[in-house]
Amino acid sequence: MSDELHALAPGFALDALDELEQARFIKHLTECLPCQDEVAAIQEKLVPLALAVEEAPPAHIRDRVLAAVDTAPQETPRRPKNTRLSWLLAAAAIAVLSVFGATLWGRGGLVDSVLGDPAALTFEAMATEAGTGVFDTASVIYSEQYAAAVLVIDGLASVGMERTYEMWLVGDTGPIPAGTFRPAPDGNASVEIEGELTDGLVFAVTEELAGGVPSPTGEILLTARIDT
Amino acid sequence: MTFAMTRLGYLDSGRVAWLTVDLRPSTSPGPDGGTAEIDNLLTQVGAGSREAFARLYDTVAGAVFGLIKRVLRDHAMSEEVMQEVMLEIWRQAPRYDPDRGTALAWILTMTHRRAVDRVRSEQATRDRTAKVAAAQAEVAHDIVVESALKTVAAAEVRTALDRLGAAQRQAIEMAYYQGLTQSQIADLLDIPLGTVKTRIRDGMILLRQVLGQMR
Repeated sequence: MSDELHALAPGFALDALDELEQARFIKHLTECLPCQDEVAAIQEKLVPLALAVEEAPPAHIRDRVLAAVDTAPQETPRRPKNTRLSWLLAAAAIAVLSVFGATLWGRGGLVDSVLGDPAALTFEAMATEAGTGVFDTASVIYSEQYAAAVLVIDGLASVGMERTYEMWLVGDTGPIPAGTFRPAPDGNASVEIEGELTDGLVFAVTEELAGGVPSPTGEILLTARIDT
Repeated sequence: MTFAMTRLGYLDSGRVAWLTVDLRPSTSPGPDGGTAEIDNLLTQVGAGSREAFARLYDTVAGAVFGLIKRVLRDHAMSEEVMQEVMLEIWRQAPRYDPDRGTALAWILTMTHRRAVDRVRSEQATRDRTAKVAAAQAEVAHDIVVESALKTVAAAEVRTALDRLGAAQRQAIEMAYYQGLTQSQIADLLDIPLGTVKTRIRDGMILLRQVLGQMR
């Protein structure tokens, strides 16, 4: 099983996986350091293949690009500090959420099923101030059919080996850990959200020490209201 | 603007460029040659330097455009994607981390993905038949070989590719230069998907070894 996933690394580095395979591999990549290393090594080795077909672009492209860059903003590196969205605030938000009838149970191997479910519901996640610039877009995909939910996030900053992102389900008893993950080298991640989602709640992500922590210490980077 | 990769020096060195780069004195800050120079440029771009971006553009534009055009095989579309990619590099540069790899690999990974995304969306809208794609595959294969003979470094890559089995080489070229998925390759060649995966995996392992030796 794991061998089968490892075997997808070259195809991933070549951008040659089908969508489902890619989703599976990205999920695997967030947890597999050897595969991260392998993909990075292959990407380095592909450089000469690109250089072998080099071709100078027309000069007018340069002018256009430089003109565009003159006014184009950049992504923020990561971690603006400023105001915090406190856990209290997040918990308070629950009060205004509508009731979410279904019960979700996280299960292994369901990511592609959830992502492949055409009837799945999408809940957009919003960056908090602390999370601004840490990722591009994020959403929680919920499949009623599979009774499972997946966080899909892209453009996510790397956290390094000693840190991890941790997901939380914030109910009226406070935040409950819902799994940890790291983004793939390209900043993407599709991870199953573990645990029970009942009666409306706030989904949140923080950055924590590798391995995860039982209760959050980092600032909330994003929240999604599960609101049907 | 001078030809970007010439500045990298790989045409002169007879080796794969960015590993043994001969830099202009005015832009050479480090002991480590071209890779470090591009890393350094991209880091400066990440700090918001438009001047560094212009220099980065001149350094990598040939590699970026060449790869896009190889994958897309359409000049006008390649110009569009080229602009998108260069803007994306500007936008994402603050997130580049030199500890995680070279700037050139970072840039070309982003470039390849963008080009492949465009190819796939075009494929979807055009709903090409496998036959048409197969015909293009053969033509493109010839072009790659011909073009690869143009430069010494390209010839070296070709030598590396030549050491692969023909089947492995074909699979890697179809994936990297044509932006095909492993499944599409299996369909086009009418062989099992597992065979394509094995060829690509074994081929990449070999390629890594061969190119590694050339360092």
